[in-house]
Amino acid sequence: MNPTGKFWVRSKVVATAAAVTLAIAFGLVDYLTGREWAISAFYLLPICIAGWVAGRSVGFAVGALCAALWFLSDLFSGPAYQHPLIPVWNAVMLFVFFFIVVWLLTAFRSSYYYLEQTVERRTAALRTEMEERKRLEHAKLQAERLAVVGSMAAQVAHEIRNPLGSISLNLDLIGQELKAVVNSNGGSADECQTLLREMHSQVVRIRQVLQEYLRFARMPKSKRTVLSLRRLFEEKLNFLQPVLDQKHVELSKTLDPELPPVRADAEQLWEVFLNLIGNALDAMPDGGNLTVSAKRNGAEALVSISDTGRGMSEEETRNLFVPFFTTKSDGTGLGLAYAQRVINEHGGKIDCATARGKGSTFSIQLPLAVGAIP
Amino acid sequence: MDELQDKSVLVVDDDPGMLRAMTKVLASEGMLVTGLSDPVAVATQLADSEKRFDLVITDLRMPMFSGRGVLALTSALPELPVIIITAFGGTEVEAQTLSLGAFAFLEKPITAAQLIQVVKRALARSPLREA
Repeated sequence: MNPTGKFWVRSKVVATAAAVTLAIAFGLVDYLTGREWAISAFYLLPICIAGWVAGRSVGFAVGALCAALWFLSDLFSGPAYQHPLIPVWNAVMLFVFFFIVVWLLTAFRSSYYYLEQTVERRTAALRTEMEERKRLEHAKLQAERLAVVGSMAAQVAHEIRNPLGSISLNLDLIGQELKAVVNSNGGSADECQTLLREMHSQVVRIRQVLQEYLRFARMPKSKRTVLSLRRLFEEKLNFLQPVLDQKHVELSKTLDPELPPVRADAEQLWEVFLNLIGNALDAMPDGGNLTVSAKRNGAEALVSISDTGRGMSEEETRNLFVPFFTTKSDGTGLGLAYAQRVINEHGGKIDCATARGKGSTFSIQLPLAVGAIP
Repeated sequence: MDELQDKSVLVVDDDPGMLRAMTKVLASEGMLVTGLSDPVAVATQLADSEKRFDLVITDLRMPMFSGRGVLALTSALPELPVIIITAFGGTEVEAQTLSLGAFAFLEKPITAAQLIQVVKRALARSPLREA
């Protein structure tokens, strides 16, 4: 198992060139000195460089080159031997020696890389396992914290709803009384009516906040059916067109007609998508482009909702799905936390990629319905 | 206003503020309102042969006797519509109370217009009752 990649290919070429150059240099020294200098052992240097960096085949080739250079220098400038075949025999012996060195070196090299890769692989697996364990512990802690906060929020919301109920009705009664007084006595109560309307709108606002808290705290079990995401978007997005026109937002849809269905609660999913679309519109106060796409990604459906709005800061991205975190003056910070909870309960995943000044993309992965995968 | 004129309604809510407000709103429409903040007294009121109610409006979560108890009591009078108005809502609770026979389910806070509208709908669907 050898290293691969561009860097290693370049290293092999450089090492081979260096080894060949060195071998030629040693051959020249041998030839010029008439083999009086004993430098045969130095041939091991280019052979080892070539064998270690460029591999066994190149090592053998450089070994053969060294043996040949040694033989030629011996033949043309070496001492006279008693038998003409002695230099040939010496060259063959030298090549066999080089062969054994290259073979042993590259065998050692292979086991070294194998060991290194095994350690790397196991370290990576261990790191992944530790990260997964950390993520699960964090999710468990988060779920416990949410359960406590959720039940507390629900209790508080319920307690507020009772007095709010009577405040709402009493405001209507005051309005009626006011009208009666004005009718019998004449005069104007415009200012009072304006104040009453203002109080009413605040009651409505409190009601909406409470509803959002309660929706998060007492999320009902999802009623899942086999659902075509393409059809869901095609049916529902049309209703948003007037709002998009009003906000000068252009909608692009890329809905894969071949996308297999998912098994999901249509109402809950649409709430999630609507929330993401709402956030996208908030991020584009001066208009822009909204892109909704749904396609297949392996055994999952991948839904993306992108805007060309202001994007988010690092802190915003980090806390995106943290309950009660919001940057909106009138937000509860529960929209995306709810979205994540719904998607997670459907066995899916929600992520966000954002770039400051360029926009954000929310990606939702949902498992395809069993039996829908061909 | 004529639709509701002289119609008799029993309003049950342990929250005195809410009870008072609902009573006033309905009375201003000409209805004959009997308000109860003690839900235990519902059985007595319903059993009183002198009184015949056209409609019952009740809270759901109350001490001693819940809105479900009221629904159980009124189940003997299938033509008597019951409207649940509660602070403890949710789709599951709504489905449960509707299956127990409630005519409508509203979550607090509500406006006077919403209350009157649902009362009119309930009375239109129930047969007229002569006292």
